[in-house]
Amino acid sequence: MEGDFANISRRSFIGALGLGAGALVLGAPLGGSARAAAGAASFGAMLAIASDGAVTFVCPSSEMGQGTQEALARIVAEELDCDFAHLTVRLPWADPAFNNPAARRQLTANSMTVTGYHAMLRKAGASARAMLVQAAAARLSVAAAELATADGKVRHAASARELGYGELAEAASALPVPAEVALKAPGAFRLIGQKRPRKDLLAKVTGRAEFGIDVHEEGMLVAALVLAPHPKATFTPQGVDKARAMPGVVAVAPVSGGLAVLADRFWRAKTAAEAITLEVSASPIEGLSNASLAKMLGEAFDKVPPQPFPNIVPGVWPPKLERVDKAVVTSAIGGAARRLERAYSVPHLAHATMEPIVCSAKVSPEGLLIRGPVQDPEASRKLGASLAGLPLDKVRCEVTFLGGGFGRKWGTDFVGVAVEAAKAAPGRMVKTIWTREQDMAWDQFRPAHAVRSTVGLGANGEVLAVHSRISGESLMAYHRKAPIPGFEGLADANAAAQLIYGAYDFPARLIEFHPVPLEVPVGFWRSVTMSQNAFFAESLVDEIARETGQDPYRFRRAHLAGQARILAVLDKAAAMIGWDKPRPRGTGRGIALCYSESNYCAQAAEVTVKGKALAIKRIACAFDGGLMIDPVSVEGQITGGIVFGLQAALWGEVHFEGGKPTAQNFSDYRMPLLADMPAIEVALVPGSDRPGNCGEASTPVIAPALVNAIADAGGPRIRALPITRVLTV
Amino acid sequence: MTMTKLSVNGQPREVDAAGDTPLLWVLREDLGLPGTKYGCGVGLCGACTVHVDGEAVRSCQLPLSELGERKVTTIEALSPEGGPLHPVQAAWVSEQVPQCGYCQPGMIMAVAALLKTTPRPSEQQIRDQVSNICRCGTYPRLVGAIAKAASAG
Repeated sequence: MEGDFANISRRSFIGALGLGAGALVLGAPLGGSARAAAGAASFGAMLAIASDGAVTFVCPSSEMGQGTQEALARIVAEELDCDFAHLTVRLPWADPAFNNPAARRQLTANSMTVTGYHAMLRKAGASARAMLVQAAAARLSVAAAELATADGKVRHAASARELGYGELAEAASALPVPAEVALKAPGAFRLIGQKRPRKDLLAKVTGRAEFGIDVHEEGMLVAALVLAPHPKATFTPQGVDKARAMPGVVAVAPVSGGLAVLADRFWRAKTAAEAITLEVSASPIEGLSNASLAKMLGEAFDKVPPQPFPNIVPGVWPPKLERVDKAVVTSAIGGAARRLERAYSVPHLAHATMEPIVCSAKVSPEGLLIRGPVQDPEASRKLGASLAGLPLDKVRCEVTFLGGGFGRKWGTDFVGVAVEAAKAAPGRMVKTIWTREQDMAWDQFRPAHAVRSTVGLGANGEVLAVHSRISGESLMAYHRKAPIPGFEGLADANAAAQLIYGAYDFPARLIEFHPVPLEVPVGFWRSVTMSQNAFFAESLVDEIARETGQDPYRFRRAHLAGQARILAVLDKAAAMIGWDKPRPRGTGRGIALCYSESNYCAQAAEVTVKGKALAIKRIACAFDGGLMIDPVSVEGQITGGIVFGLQAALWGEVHFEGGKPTAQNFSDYRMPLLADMPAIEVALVPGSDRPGNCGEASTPVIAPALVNAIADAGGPRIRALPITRVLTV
Repeated sequence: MTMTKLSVNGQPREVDAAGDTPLLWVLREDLGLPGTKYGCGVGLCGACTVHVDGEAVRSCQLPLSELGERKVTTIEALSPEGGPLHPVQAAWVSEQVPQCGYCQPGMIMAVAALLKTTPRPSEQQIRDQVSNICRCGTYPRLVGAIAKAASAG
């Protein structure tokens, strides 16, 4: 365990030098699992160069498939000019030195890893390079300006001499960090924007990558769980003594919402756990069913006072909010020649990461060690400290590879359960593995929502005002979180933002939220707000166009004046699908879009509908994510995100009966297989030299593109997802 | 203590585990071979796919007591240690198939078994026979990667 808590010494170093988190810190050791080889010189919290020239980069973000580990390594190596083949990437641990500058904390979420760390890592790489050049200048007695760098070497062309970074590292790390450094011009990039395989792939194809479920230590224990229907349910267990006496069982311990059975092997722990039953005395979702859920979401529009959500001025970051005068909107709708009333809904969705929930913990005299697949190491560490009754500097949280995250592993409920289980066997690592059934039933679901929209139309069909109301459970309320600064007294942005897109130039609009305190466990699901609101917003826009006899693509164009980057992807997607080509009978095309402050995505789908049979012929997607560090990974995020959204659009639905979710396994939470894949074509059309968010952009757009295509094909207008409630595929 | 003998990755091994223990957990916890992954436990996702006498088998559905003398190969031994990658693994890297990577050992074992019996599969054969689940949605790159592996194999 020596060194497991060593990062503390580096933190005091940062403080002594008065440098911000993540800045270059000289002479400080890399702590814990990411300790560099003996003799390595350190260039800050994340970078070390050994005497043989080997570079170690501790990637501050969690790697869950999105490829930011590769992207961040390329960013720092691009400016460092090191030999990329000799750069090793290490997984991070919870440490303020690894904070994302955009979030001011260490959290991998919201597709903000590359956007958040980009500038800081460019500067870090360039600063380390400048220090190596300075050290070489002194060694060779020449001016720094006469030196060039490439592939981990500093070269003096005039005298044909060169020095490896390894030979210079120690001297360089003792030099002052330059206040200003010049960054490379994009034309000089050798790694950024290149198509080359990611560094993490070799470990992943040989089975050597360490995921959370692979954490191993001699003498460790494995825990299986017995869980009540809700994390806050109260219960009386039966059969504990029997379980305790079963082969391999070491302890049975209380954890939040259930019991953990600790044994020497998972199968023994699971077999013993199955001997225990819980008699539930109370649960926050007692009696909840699909029917009662739908009733509550519907009645909320009349019974729960609405909370307004401001208009967000498009294209401005940080968001600029404009309060809406409700009277203006209601009077515009009241005086309209015609009103369009529409109701939509979406169900709860599960994350269903391929790696079921898992986390390991060990309580020892040195402190608490947490090792697991977490998106939020900082919150995990704090929770661990509180549950173990230890000061923060006695708690270390190390991040493994994540077998998928999609927002589920932002939650820390499973970290808490793992720490509670580990407390029952001090001195031993305890890995708590959830079964797939428990992963499904105890998910923190994407909340279900219902929407009521009213559109006021003028005599010529022109839009006068749009009023959309959404009901459902507030994520912030479930997690007892204070509103985002600037959003106090307003609707939860996770439910309401972009329910009507700010980019459309409708003369008046109002978004309102009717919160329903369901207490169903809910959390952040890939694309969060947009996972539901792209469907609601882009279905309604399509319906307005069709009801007023306009082409849905051109209707959007007409209301997007001045939105150059949105129009570019919209036009591209329309061209890719062949929007204006004749449509055979039964064939339809639909289009939809989604955007944030730094990405723009449009998708078009071509389908056929014959009776109740839907066939998806083609999906075309145009995506502008700005500067792409690793375009092959970006393309993978976009196609993968479409497949993720396709699952939700076609099949995604968590049912509730008798006070609990009924989904058990993939048999009743249908996943797409290779055989289900339609042709997916992606065009990457970067519209900026700054990187944008890429991990979530494509997921929410496919549902509205599909339902719009189905309506275009003469099929039903689907206003409640998933689509297979109505059609077969 | 009941010791069960089995043959894994060309080595004779012995484990002390109940007969109903799925091969998956024997590999992962008794034999120190964690490359084979747990995904669903009911044979639906294929993350636990290994080769048993050369055929793709979902190891969560094979109890230790039913294995007998059949030979097991896991992802750890698909290519020799330190040697060249198996053509499927090599294609998976060059075509950049994996994202999170969790399902990929099972996917690779399934495809490697498919190419053994069908060295030049048609796209339709690939779509029909590869039924592993990938939550990251890497499917669009699979067909091309399998074709590449087939031509290299």
